[in-house]
Parts: sequence; structure tokens; C-alpha cells
Amino acid sequence: MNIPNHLAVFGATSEIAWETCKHFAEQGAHLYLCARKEDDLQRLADDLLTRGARSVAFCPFDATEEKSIDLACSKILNEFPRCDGLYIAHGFLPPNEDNAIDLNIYRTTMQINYFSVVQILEKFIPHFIKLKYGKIAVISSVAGERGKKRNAAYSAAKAALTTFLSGLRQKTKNTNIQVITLKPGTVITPMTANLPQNFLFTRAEKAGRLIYDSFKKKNENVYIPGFWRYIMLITRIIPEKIFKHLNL
Amino acid sequence: MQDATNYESWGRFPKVTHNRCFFPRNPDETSHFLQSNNASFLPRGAGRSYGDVCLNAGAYLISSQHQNKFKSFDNESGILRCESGVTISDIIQSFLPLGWFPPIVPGTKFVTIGGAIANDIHGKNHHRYGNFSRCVEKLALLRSDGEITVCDRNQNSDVFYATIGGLGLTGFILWAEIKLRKLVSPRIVSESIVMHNIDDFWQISQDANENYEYTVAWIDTTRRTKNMGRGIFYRGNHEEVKKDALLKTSLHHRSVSVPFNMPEILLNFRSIQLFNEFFLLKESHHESRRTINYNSFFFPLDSVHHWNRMYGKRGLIQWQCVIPHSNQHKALNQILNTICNSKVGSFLTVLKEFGEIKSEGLLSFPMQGTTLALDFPNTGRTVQQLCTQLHELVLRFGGRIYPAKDALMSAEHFQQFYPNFSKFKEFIDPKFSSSFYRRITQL
Repeated sequence: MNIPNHLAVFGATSEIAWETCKHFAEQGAHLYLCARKEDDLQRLADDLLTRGARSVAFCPFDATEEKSIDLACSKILNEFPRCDGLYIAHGFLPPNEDNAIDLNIYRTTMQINYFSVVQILEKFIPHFIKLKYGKIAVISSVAGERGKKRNAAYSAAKAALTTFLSGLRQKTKNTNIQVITLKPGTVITPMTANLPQNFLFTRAEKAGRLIYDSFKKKNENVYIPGFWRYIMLITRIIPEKIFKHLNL
Repeated sequence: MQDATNYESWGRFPKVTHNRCFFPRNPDETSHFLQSNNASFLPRGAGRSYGDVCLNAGAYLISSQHQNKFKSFDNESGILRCESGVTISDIIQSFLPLGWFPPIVPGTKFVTIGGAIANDIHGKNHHRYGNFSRCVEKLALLRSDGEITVCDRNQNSDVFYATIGGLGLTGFILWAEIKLRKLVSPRIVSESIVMHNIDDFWQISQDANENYEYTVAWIDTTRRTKNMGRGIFYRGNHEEVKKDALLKTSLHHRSVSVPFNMPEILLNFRSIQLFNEFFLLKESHHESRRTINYNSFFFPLDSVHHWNRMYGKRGLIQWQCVIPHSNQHKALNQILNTICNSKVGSFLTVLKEFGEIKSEGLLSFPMQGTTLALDFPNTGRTVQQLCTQLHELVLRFGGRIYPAKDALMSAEHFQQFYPNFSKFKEFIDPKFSSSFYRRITQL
């Protein structure tokens, strides 16, 4: 399978998405960008065109609103009929939780990280089936593999996302659609600016490059960077009895 | 600058704390931060200047880190418009494969365009191309009242000349236009020549400046009398043979990182003498003429991340002066003698002749003459006393000190070095300040 030449990107103005798109631009791809703010989309489009993208179009969308997602999807499918790749990079990390549960935050987290993605995919899958080809890469997170007290809402939403994607992979197994679940560890971005940094943090530039590479490969469950596979392997096999006492 | 919480200067001296560093992601956020806070601001690029021009103790920094997008590129003229947080490295990564290169590069590629303009930096080809501002065609400046001024050499030229070399005090540079140059090969044909003393330097330098685009000398400051100023002279030109394939593949080079501060006990006059001896020996055993990658020629220290940690936790004191052409021989002799007598060794001492292209910025550093750059481990009082002594000498010979590398110059000295300062003051944004600015205005 080749690397997509017509890529639609949701959450395009995120640091990781931009770093990934740079590589697509350098290869002369056609890009369609979606994100919340129109001004930022314009800046990004200029940047990617300067870097060599064949064409860049964009439309604003808000992942918290069903209507806005619908509108963006149909606009892309109309204006970008040769779209053969989809990259979903938007996400929402709520501030550190305390012991109380704020249902509203849980709903928003679920909406942005999970439902919006399901909604986008629901629109795009028929398109890719018609096209008989498609590559879908979605940024989930290592956080989705085990819940932690500080970001239970985020972990739950990303767990739902990861699980949904593996279900989707089975659903589309007889088509020529590849579904890639990207699981970044901690990456230095504005989203994680308030977390204390340690040696496990990866630069957004590197994360972007690895994600671009994963579009070229067959692997459908990708850790960014790869060493997180082993960290998560260990994290997953710790019995719950012990895990609940850990202060992670 | 990988660590977002680290707001030191590259010299790690002086040590100060800031109220907060803002990381606006677009011009709107920048404008919003500027208008909704009252304490003073200082734009911050990569934090690669040595002294306190990139520090604003007790107040705010406003980082250009996330404003690092390209805006447009004209394939005919080579003019690149980009936001101020774009680094020289970003430009090389994207444009060298297409055969374009920044005409003026400093000793590290990790500086931002905003920082390069604000300090009006120079490179090894000053005698041909002048300061960095010579390749800046236009820039947009955001003031704290939200107004955006687009300026160049014709339109709002007074703002333009204040902002280049303006140390970030005239406003936040949103974007700039840089004129790149065409290259056919990423490699440099470099020659190194052993100099036995300072007299050799004058001779080689004069000759080299005519035939070579890049010239610079490394000298050993721990030797006196007839060995004073011994070292290696480097000169080079871009390779003229077409190497299209190399342009695309020569971007990556290996790097290591200094993981922790070096213990200070290793930084004394003896060890510096030994280091210099070793360096001289190593370099003089090279083949004198080599064709090398641009990274090894322009940015040798970039392959060692955090090399400033080699100077221990107290950091290093950089010091760079320029002495006008007419006095350079006498002045250099006295300066080198003073340094050697002080027994404060400098690891990397760099000597270069600036050309006659005039500086444009009101506070630009370069002038026709010879520039000397030293880096001392920060050993406290002795270094500071030495610097004061050197400032007096520089003043006497009509030279000046480079703000981007200074942490110790007095207000009195600064204002004598930079007579245009009174004119410059009109252009300072009322909400902008820096640790450097407060130091050099405290009369």
C-alpha cells in the first residue's frame, strides 16, 4: 500500500499533526485541514504550501458539536473526492482531576476524544469503501490502556477509542482499508505544557516523523515512540491489587 | 531549549527567576497577552544569547517557540517570509534540499529568526555580506497596544533600523522576510593554517579576506610573549561542484548531549592550557585542505547538545568586543596580554576581521575592525574584574562590546559604546524591558 496522496486531517493545528503534515507537504501531497480556528488554519496552510504541498484547503470545525462535524465531513467529501487518507489528531486532555467527578468534563472529554471520531469515521468509511482504498490513522493514547486517578476521564475516553478502532479493523477486514491506532506516550506539546517533564517525553517533531513513517508501514497498532510498547506491556500486567496502590 | 520550563540564558549567568513565560500559539494570543498584563515583557526566541539580553527577571517572557510557521517562498528571488520563531535549522532543513541557504549564519543553527534580527548577529562571512540584517528585507512588529507595523528600508524605516539589533525591546517581531541564496553543494572547501603568533594572524587574515568567503581564527590565550595568539586560522568557500544528491541527504548529522554539569574543579587555568594544547595538536595534524559538510564547518558545537553544561553549574561568561581597524594591532596586543596575565583561561577564543559593510541597526554591534570572542568559566570575582579591565581597554581604543554576549558591562560603558542609544530609546515599547536593559540604564 502506498502513502496517501490526498490526506484529510482533523485537529490539524495541533503540534503533532503539523509535524506530521510537514512530511506529507514535502512529498507534494494534497491536504485538507480541519481545526477549530480559521486564522490558525490559514497560517498552517501557508506553511504547508511553502513546504511543497501540491494543494491545501481547509475548513473550521468544532469537535464538541455534532452539526459542525457533519458539515466539515460533507464539505471535505464533496470538495476532496480523491481523498485516500484520513488522519485524526484532535484530542482533549482535561486538567488534572481530584477525587470528585465532574460529569460535564467527562462528557466533553468523551465527546471530543471518542464520539467525534466515531462520527467522522462513520462519514468516511463509505467513501473509502467506494474508493476501494483508504488509510485511516487516529491518535489514541497510551493512557487508554490503564486508568489512572489523575486522568480517569481521558484514559476512559482513549480506551473507548482504542477499542472502537480494533472493532472497526475487524469490520473492514475484507476491504482495502487500513486502520492505524497511534498511541503516543508523553509528547512535548502545548497540551502537556503544564505537566512536569521527564526523560520519557518525546519532541513533537520526532512524534510527527514516526507517525508519518507509520503511514508507510503495515503495523496497525503503533506506539510513539516504540519503547512505549514495553512500558505499557509491563503496566498492563501489574495486577489491579497492586496497581491501585501505585502513585502514577 | 527543549525543556519548556528552562528560562536561562545560554551562558547560565546571571541566574534569575521570571514571573512567567507565555507560549502564545498565534499572533492573536500574543496580542492578547500583551494587552491583558501590565508587568514588563521580553520576547524570547531560543534562549541562545549568553548574557541577560534574553532574560527579564521578575517579569514576563513571551516565547516565539510556537510561532514557527513559514508564510511564503518566492522561488525566483529566494525571499522567504516566516514567523519569528522559525530557526536557522528549520530553514536549512526545508530549503537546502531545494538548493537555498541563509546567506549569513552564526555559530549555531538553533537560533530563531527573531533572535537573529534582535541581536543583528554576524557570521564568518561578515567581510563579504555584513550583518544578518543585510538579508532581512522586511518585518512585521507587534506593539503592546496591539498595533502591527510592517517596516523595511523604505516604509517605516526608522522602526526597521531600531528593531534590527533592537534586543527585542521595540516590540514582538511577528514575521520577517529573509533573502536566501542559491547553493549547488552543501559542502565547504575548508583550509586550516597553523599560526605561531598574532602577527601571523594579521598577515593570513588580510590575505584570506580577499579570496575566501569564510574566515575565522581560533587562538590560545594562555600563552604570552612570542607565542601570544598562536592558533589555527580557518578559511573556506562553498564547493562549486554541483552536488544535487548531496543537497538532499546531507541534513542529518550525529549528535551527543552533555547529560550533567561538569564539576568545577576541572575548570582551572592548567586544564584550559591543556585543552588548548590538545586542540592545537589535533587540528594541526589534520590535512590542511578538506571538503566538509556545512554542519561541521559552520556549527561544530551543535553536535554537542547542552555543551554549556561543560562549564559547571555557575555557567560561563562570554565576552566579545570589536576594535576599530586603525587601533586593532595595539589594542589586541594589550587585551591578550591582560587576559593572559589574569590567569583566567578561555577555552574557545575566536578572532575575526570584520569587513567594511556598515551596520544598519541603531544598536548593531559590528564595525570595521577586528572582533575577539572569549568564553571564561564563571569563577566569580576574578572574571568580573578582568572584564571590567577589558571594558576600559575597549573603550580607550574606540571599540565596543556585544550585548548578546554580555552580562557585566556597566551602564556608563554601554552608553559610550553605543552613542545611538538616546535615539533608540524613542522606539522602545513602553511595556517591554529586559534584565539587560535595566542594567544598562541604571546610571
